[in-house]
Amino acid sequence: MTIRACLFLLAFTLLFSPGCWNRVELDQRAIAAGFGADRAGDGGRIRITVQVIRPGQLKVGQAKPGGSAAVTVYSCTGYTFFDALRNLAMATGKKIFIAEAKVVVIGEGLAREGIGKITDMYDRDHEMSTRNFLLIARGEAREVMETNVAAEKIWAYGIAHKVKSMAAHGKAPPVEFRHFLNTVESKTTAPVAAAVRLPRIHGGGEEKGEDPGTIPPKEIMVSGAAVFRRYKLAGWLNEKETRGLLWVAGRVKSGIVPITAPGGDDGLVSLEIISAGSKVRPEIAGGKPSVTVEIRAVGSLGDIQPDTVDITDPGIWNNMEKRKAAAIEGEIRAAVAKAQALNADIFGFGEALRRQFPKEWKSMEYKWDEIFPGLPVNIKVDAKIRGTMKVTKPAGPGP
Amino acid sequence: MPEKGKISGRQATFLLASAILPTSILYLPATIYRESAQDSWMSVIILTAFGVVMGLITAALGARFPGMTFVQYLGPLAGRVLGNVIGLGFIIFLIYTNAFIIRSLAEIFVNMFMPETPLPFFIISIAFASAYAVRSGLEALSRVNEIILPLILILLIIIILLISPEMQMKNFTPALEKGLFPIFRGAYPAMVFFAETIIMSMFIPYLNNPRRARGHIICGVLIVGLFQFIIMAATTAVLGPRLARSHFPALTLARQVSIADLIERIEPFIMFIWVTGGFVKVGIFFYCAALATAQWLNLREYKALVLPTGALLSVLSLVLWENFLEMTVQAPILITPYMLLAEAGLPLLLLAAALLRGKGGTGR
Repeated sequence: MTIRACLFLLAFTLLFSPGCWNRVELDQRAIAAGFGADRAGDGGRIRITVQVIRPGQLKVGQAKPGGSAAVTVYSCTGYTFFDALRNLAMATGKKIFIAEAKVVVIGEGLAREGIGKITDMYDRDHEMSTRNFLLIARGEAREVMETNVAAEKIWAYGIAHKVKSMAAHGKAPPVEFRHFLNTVESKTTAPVAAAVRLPRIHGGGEEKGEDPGTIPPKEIMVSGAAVFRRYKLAGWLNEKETRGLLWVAGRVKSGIVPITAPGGDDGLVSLEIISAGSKVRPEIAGGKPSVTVEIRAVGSLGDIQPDTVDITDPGIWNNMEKRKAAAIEGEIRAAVAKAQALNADIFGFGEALRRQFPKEWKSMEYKWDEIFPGLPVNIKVDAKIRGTMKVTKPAGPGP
Repeated sequence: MPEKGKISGRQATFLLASAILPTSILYLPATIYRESAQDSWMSVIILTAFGVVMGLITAALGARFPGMTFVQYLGPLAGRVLGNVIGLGFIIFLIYTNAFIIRSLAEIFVNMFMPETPLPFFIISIAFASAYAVRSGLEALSRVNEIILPLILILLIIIILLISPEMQMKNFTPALEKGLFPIFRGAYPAMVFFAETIIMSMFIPYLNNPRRARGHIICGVLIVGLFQFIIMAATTAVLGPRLARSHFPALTLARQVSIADLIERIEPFIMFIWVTGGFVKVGIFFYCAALATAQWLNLREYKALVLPTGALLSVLSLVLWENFLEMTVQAPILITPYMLLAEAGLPLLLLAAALLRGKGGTGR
């Protein structure tokens, strides 16, 4: 009986001593929302800029509209990513908690040297999520991380939203670490990442003496893409080329294709993409590889300038579909031309050949660098315009 | 007779599944993928066939010597001296394997969840918990397993369903890029897991109906093969070439889940599979080791051996391997031949000897 009572008491004390060995209370953690990484000097050191969430500022209803921030930005250098990350505790006073981070921005300088230093830890460490977005700054990552993102109190999350916004325009690739890591495993495919730029709005906020918190003096934009060869930044894609790439990858979800109205001198028509798909068909004829890209894009007419063309005319309608196809083909052509100029197979054409023609591929793999820049790429676009939304012709007496 | 309990056919099937599945689904995808790449699913089919053959050998031996476990029929089959030597070898195999299982479970906790907690803490916890289960006897272990295994299988299916949007069929092509040979090379180190079927030879005498042991064993192997196939295909489809570098593919898989930004980071599911499944797996091998030792020494009780075996297991699992890389990348290359010799070669040899020398009953 005594033993039973003792055992019961012993078990009872367990109720008050839960938790694991290296448990850390929330207030002992500096919760990171996102990271920036730059090269610091020529000694191979890197600079990490981190946005640490201030939970106290997240309360609903208390914040001022606009500029209120719920993050503090710290910056620190180290020999490696991990080193710099730990050094940050010297500034924050708390160990950085990474699991809640959503984005990593890497500065152009570091990206040109190679981003393997950053990606490996993301692959390896148990606290990091490979679902974080990877962005390359056209400039210093530190500057990006220090910029107030007006739409979101936690700025880094605002950057993540900007990446996700590609679903509406298709002009930035939503690349997560896992996508990058999957691609870098390939012998031939070149990885890409979203690009982020820092345009300054002149005459904004500060100069007029307004509260700099109310109107953002500058706002960062996620647009275009960075192209890598293995881990090293090789060049950039502009917005048009980026959408060309995403067309081929079948990742365009929506977006606007502006075309000139048929017959009309310079009237413009916006065509919205509703759904799109792609197929990459590799071919080998006479030992020469080539690739055919088939795009299917369905959309609707979003707006048209009045007094240009009669859209109820089936001939005009067909003509518009052709123009849409030509516009999309133009975007893809631009992307292919840039990729071939950089000699970076961002589309994975090599992998497509490997999957389709494993035997022939063996003789091509090692000289893909010579084949790819001259690879013939045929583009077939099947563009449909399904509807005109609420009205038929624009208001006016018509052309 | 050190063990007086009886288990049902279904319990035997579940015991076999639990003896292989919990760690095989966690490690094997990477081990197989390193050699077989996109054809890994074919390796799993070969493995399952191999497991079935192992099951047939185990059942045939059991049928020739009714009422006897592996260690007990070594004497009549191979003679007293040789039988004792083989018996010792078999016990060493059981203890070595169990030390490996305990260490790999503990390493997962240290590497993936609690890096600052000392390794011995996990090792001793696992060993102690399973020691308790083993002392409670075969029936208790079987009943616990009857609750745990279905939960594990259901959780696995949930994880696969949640990750299905991330699957890419192109990761399976090109099929047979480097010919048939890599499929067998991928299956080879994984055979160690499927050959663990041999531990059923320790359970056959305790079945309610030992005559139907063969069906139950084959059924268990097929459950393992099916789930191994599902996990192999899912990890290949989601992770692709990254799989080869992964220590814990199933965990990486679970971490990729993200449904509408809402269902994310479901690795506690995997943690559950490891804690519970690992506990049962360790328990089964622990039980076999204790029982085999008792029968080898002709003791009336195996329970006195449980705590010493547990202590031995804890120490061995700490000192046998310097670090985790040694276990996952180097050990499969080095120990596979020896393990296969103990698990598959030995039973095959014994069955051949029994047939040639006409020892034991015909099993009919």
